Amino acid sequence: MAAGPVDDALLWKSSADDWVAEEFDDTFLVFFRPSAETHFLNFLSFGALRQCAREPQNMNSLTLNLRQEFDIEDAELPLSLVKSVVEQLDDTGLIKPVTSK
Amino acid sequence: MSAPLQQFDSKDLKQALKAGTFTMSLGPFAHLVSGSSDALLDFLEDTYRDYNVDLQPRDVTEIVLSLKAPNFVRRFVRRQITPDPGFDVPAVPLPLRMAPLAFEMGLNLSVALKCCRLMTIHAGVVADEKGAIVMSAASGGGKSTLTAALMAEGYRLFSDEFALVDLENASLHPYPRPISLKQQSIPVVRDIVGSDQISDLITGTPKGDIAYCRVKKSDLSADNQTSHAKLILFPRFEEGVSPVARMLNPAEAIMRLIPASTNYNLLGEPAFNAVVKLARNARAYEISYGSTAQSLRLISELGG
Amino acid sequence: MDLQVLKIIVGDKPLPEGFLRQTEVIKFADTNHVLGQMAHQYRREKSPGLADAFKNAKLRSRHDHIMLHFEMERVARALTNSGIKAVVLKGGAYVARGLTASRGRRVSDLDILVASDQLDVTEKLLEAAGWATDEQTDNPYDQQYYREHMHELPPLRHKTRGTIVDVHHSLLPKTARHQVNVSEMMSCAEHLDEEGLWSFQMMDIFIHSAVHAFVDGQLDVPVRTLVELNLLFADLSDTDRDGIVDRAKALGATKAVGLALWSIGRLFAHNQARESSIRLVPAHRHLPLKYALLSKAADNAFSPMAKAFLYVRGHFLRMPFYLLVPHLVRKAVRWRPGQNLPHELPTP
Repeated sequence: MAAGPVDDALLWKSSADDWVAEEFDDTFLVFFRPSAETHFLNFLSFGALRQCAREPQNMNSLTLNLRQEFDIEDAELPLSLVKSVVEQLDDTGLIKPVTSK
Repeated sequence: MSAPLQQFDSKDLKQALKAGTFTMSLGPFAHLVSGSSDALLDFLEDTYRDYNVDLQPRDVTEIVLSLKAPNFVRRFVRRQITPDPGFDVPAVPLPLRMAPLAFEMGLNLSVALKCCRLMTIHAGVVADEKGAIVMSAASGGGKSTLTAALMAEGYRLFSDEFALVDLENASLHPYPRPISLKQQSIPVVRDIVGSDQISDLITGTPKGDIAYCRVKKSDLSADNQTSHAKLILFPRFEEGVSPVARMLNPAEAIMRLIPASTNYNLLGEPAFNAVVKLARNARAYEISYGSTAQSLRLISELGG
Repeated sequence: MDLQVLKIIVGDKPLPEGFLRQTEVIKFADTNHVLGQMAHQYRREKSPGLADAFKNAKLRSRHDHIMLHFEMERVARALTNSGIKAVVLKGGAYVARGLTASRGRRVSDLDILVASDQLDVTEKLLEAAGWATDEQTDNPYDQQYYREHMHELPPLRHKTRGTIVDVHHSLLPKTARHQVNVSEMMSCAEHLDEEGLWSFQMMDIFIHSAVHAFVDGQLDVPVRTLVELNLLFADLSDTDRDGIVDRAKALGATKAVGLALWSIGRLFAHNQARESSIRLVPAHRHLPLKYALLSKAADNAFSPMAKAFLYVRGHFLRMPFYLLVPHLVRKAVRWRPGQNLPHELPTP
């Protein structure tokens, strides 16, 4: 479940200063400072988090970037999968949409 | 001055308990206790006879436990007792003879909710010269029985309730209070440690029959000697099952230790760093077993 | 405990001598949820045990503040691009604005205020983002009761985080006899950039706290409330302090603000507060209530009686009598005493 309204045009961002990550065999424990919560991410979710920390991007560019980074076939990483990853990360607060104030 | 409890006069102890100035120091904590029941005094003079106590507080402490009647009437008629650690707990009043249970539960609650200097994980901990074994289990998982059995094997008792994890270096701090035994575990542990090491039975409590296993004097005098974890175990006792151990990835171990901690969320990042350090430097297993003998064999095979 | 303890807590009097007395004061402050505020008043040399107690209290409130900041950010996220003006109330506002009154303060729930005509859409957006009606109030009676008579929705609990948001559309129950001018307060609200939400202006923050304490029926946490009013008053600028009497009159909060100022003037020997209070409430008015408040704050032998008096008063002001009786009867029937008693003590 997303943490608020979602649409394809939203740019997603993350601040790398907000979290610390520890890697254990392709899985990542991430401590998120703003919520003081610890999250257990697989390589794909963590990859998405890292991408959004590198630069804000919408769901389409994120999908393309992840396919490239992990060298995955288009069919193996459909947009729908990335969408569910984004919604889960959104729910934790690790990523959030760029909003104009 | 602070001295082993048995060196004090009963009269003086009773007075200090009544005045709320009785102080017991153990490991990282000083406990200030008040209560005027004889059942409490008898229990302390028996099970806590070698513990260091004082008749006056030597400093301010947050671990304050008052064992009092739930209301005025219950001070006189069908006398009852409730632990009051200074914050709201949904505590059921207990008959006066169950004062030891109220005392032990009250102290556990107090430590669980007041301690911020160390990360607290609900777990049994014992250690030898090569390192400590942390055992985290749900109620009924056999944690206390296993802790008592390992203590009888010669391990130092750290605690039957809390792994106290140092936030700087993830070492474990001893806090050797008596081991709380329930129901079926009482005869099992009595067979292993001998009946003179077990307190009188308290029958018919909300947790069934209970008794407390004494702590060795040598463990009490080593209550400031920390150790590093070498094994993290998640034991599961199941009648008739054959013994088996499954190794866990450290991340998996951490995700199980976090919910067993009473202050992980409160402490935040330092606790995250400490638990990562703890799990990285130890091996973690989930073990299932059907008897205490099996579990002891399994633990020694795993390098315990 | 006597009134002097209050002064020790706010730092107007030194700590007592002796570890036992000090431990008692710490315990009293902790039980009354003001140990964190007290910790910020004592920076001088301390025993290790006292330093530890203060450090832990600050740690607890710091944790609360982190959670609260996060919840505010989550609410703003849930309302993204909706155009809803959500005003953070009470502790949330103190924390967001970094007021003295927030230092060391414990906070658990987030309270927000939205305009009545935005209530439905706010509720829908929050539900879509994972908040849901708490189990305890998820029954037709409570739902109807809240919606018809209260000034807030039934509490919304987040399904994964377990945190609670109270959504208000007014500051007092619809049935309360005294109403304050909420729309005027909302129109003067200020934007909190970091949180993406809004808060009342400083004067109105004080007035709301006074109204909340003295009309809303929350009279059973007086120590914390009084300590807080005192700190909020200290946070006001000189201009705000001068203007508070007129503002209270304009908003229809004369009596509540008068009592609040009287209390802090009396308890914390604050002359400016005392003088302003006389301009709002003549010195001889509400004497029984004033002294009931004092004796409750002091937690002395009269407090059970004082508390009973305050409780009845709180409910009486909130609800017309024809509603009060059925409500109390209904609650008594639904919540039988002892029903929720656990069978086993929690062990950590």
